[in-house]
Amino acid sequence: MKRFLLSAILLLFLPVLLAAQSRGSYFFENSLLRHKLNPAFAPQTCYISVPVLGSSSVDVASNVGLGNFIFQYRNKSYTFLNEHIDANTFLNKLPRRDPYVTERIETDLLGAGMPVGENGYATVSLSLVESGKLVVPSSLFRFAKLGRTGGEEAWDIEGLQARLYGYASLAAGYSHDLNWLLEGLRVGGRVKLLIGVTAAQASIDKISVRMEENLFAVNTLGSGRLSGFEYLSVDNAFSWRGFGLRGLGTAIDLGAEYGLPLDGFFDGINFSASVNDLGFIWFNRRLLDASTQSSFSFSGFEDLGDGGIQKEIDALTDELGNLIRPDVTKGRSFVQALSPSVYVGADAPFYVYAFRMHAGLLYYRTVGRDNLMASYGISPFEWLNLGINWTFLGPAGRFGFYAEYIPKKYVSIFFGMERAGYRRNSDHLAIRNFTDSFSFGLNVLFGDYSFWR
Amino acid sequence: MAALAACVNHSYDFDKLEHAVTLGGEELVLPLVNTGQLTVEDLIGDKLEDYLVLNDDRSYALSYDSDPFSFTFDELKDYDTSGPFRRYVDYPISYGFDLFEKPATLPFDDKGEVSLDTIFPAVIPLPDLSKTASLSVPRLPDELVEVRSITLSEDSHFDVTISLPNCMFTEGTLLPDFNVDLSQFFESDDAEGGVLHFDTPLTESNGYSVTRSYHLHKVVFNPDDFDPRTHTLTLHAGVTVNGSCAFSGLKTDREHFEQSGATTLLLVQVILRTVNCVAFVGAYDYTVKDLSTSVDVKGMLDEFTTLFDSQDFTIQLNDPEILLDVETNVPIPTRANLNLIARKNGVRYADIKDILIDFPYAEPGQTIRHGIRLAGKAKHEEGIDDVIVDFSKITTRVPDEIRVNATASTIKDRIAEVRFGETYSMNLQPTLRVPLSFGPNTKIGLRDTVAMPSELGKVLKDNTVILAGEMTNTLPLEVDFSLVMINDAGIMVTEQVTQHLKANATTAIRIPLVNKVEEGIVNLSKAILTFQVKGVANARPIKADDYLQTSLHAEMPGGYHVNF
Repeated sequence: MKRFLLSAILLLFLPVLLAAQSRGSYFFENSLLRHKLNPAFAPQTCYISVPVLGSSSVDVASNVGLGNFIFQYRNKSYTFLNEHIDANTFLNKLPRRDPYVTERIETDLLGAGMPVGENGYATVSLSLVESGKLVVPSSLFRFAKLGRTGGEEAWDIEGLQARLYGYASLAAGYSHDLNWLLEGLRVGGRVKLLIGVTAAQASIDKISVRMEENLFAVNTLGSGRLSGFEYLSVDNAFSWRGFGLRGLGTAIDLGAEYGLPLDGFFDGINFSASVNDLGFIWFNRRLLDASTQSSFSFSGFEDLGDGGIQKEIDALTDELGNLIRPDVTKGRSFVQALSPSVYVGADAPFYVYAFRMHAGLLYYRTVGRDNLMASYGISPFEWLNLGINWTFLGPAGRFGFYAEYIPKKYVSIFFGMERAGYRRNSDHLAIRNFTDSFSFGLNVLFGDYSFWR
Repeated sequence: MAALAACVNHSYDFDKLEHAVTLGGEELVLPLVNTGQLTVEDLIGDKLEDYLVLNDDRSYALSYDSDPFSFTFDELKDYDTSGPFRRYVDYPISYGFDLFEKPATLPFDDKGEVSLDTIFPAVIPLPDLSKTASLSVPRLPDELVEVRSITLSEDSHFDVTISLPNCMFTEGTLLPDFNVDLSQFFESDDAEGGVLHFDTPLTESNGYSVTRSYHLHKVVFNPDDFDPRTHTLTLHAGVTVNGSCAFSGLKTDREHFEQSGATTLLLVQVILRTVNCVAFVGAYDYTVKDLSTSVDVKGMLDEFTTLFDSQDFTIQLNDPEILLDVETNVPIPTRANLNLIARKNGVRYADIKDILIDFPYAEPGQTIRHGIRLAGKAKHEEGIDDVIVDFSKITTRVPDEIRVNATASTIKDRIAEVRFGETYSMNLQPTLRVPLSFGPNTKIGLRDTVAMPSELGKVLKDNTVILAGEMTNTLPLEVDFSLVMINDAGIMVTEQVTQHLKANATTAIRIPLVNKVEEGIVNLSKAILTFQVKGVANARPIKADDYLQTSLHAEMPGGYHVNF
């Protein structure tokens, strides 16, 4: 139980390692890779990604931070399980929803874009995507902290679950100007061939614990399905088998953009919307179905005869081992639906002196959470975009920053980030609930459209 | 980035984190031991399995076998069974009947032969012929003082021969129909009422001579005719022969006619062939002296002391019993006179004299087992005869041994059937039975060594662990329960803690486990559980329903502490 708790807590604070295609680029009309957020957007230049470095992004979010589990007492830091930390102090810090952490990592191995005809722009890319979520129920922490304190002898711990899947995405996108239909309207779409690499879904639906003076009993009920893993019964552990073709799938991205020209302070108002990752992956190879429905009860050693207690200790150890030993069978194929994301934005470009600026409002929904972001951007030069943003809704209010160097030719580079919970420890782990998004990209540009025409 | 760096809070750095955590809140309780009801048989039954017996009233007794002893009636085995009647064997008693006179001449035919059917009568009645004998039968067993009947061996028999010696007949049949009355001497299975019926025909083919054997079963006599001084029985009785005989198809020839005697004689001979006396029903006078054995009380105590590895093992000798397990085929009722002599350190300090015991006796040819209990009060158990003995003189101390001396004699006025030639013996197994009630100085140590998980050392190092619960002790004994843990080197790493359990009471247990050697606690390897059983003065015997029940849980006030 102790190891399990530590593992669960550490998983909640996975360090942030990579950077992301930032949502801060959404309203910069010359931003190179904003078409990843909405396939209707078309870059204004041709490009080829620097392999692996073309675009990488990572999003991590959690509704808890170190401050939920580490407390100060007489100038020393203690975990919530330390006896100096009052139970109410800890319990009042737990969020209303069960603590969770979500993460998503995406990186382009290859990518390119070029205009097609008078009104079209095409993109292709090969990406690796990994996404995961872990939920640790509050009752588990309450149980660890309280035990039988207060006379509570029965605990039902529900909702412990983990999800992880990874796939490669070969995407082909196309954006088309529909000025002939409605001036300012542009639509786009992207088709993705998805190659499943790994998938794991596991949930302990219920852990029932009874603690009485003469009885300690645990019942567990859980299940899981995995692809790309093998079970080593000797170690009672799952091992990842590395990259391989373990599933196939498809997904589409759809988007639209409409620019309403205005005469006045604002140059116009742009509306845009997209829905991305509408699709699924069918995992069909090397699957494991794992389930556990175990019960363990202990009412004390009952045999004081010769060697009796030692036998009972051995039996007890075996029984505890079986409690967490899953029943693993060769599994069936299953369909893993992607978690679609939705973007709906409106921005108004305007000029102050010779500087192009914009103010925008972006609603987006990713990994099941709604977010609303206000954005301000300035392009002091045609080759430089700078932006800041503030997200109101979501796991935490957070500040974002975006910078992009995008000349007509040669090399473009961008960096963006969003962060909520700026208070960190020396290892950059958040002290409160947090969101971290980072993006980074390096691409080679080949000039504007006219160069190719 | 500078702004970001300014937000770093080192209070949450892991290297500054105190690693001590506590699981389970302020009151962690885990079950530990629930023994159920441990009876005396569970606790010490394996050590005492050869000694522990359960009485009908469900009380236990310690039972210790002493050396067995036996005695044999050798004289009865060596008795000469053919001696009394030897002088009368093969001695014939003859009876002659004259059937008819020889005629002067006969009308022989051309062949020199003649039919006699019309010459002699077809049936001739025979008169009663009686002979009286007076037999002196000596050498009956010396132990007999009275005899009621004598049974003969299965091969005992006599022969009856009927013949026509030197008769004239060359053809024809003589059919006898007469009785030989032996009823005043013997009983025979072949002769109803002792009267033998003879009807075997005499013909020219058997030479007009027939012999038949008849089995003898018992001797018939008057018990008053037995003289116990000379061991001789005198028989006065007669043998009577009577009946008739018929003739048919008789012929003779000239030659036989001329050679035959003047009278045709029918000769009857009665001859005793084998007469062995195998069983006498009567009264016997037989005594076996100097029977003795010893009940080794010290040996019993020494053996228990060794079993329990205790220097202080005593039992309370209140209400002892000496159980004699008797196995016998002796059919004679026998009575023994026992003397019990108690010794301590080689010195006789008390005795109990003249304890009369009636030994069991068997039906002839069978072997029985029966118990005789010498005790202060009767228990009336089936198969065991109670003999009341006041042991109080002996039990003023705990003797080293109780010497048993005995003289066994037959009861002279009791009739028994004794078969000679058999081995009659009586085997006695004395057993000392003492109610299971330990003396006040008794200290029995029951120890169990239990291998402990190595991680338990860490638990004890960081946590206050209290063994709590209760132990119920309905035994009339006091028990000290103690616990100590040792490391690989056998060094005690916890203080030895002890809990005293009163007799017939439920005791709340609360034993804190305290580290003794802090640096060594992590190498903890074994726990030693000890139950020190103490006797209680004048306690009642332990019963099968008495038990010791332990229900313990581990309390960790303040939860489960661990450093990770």
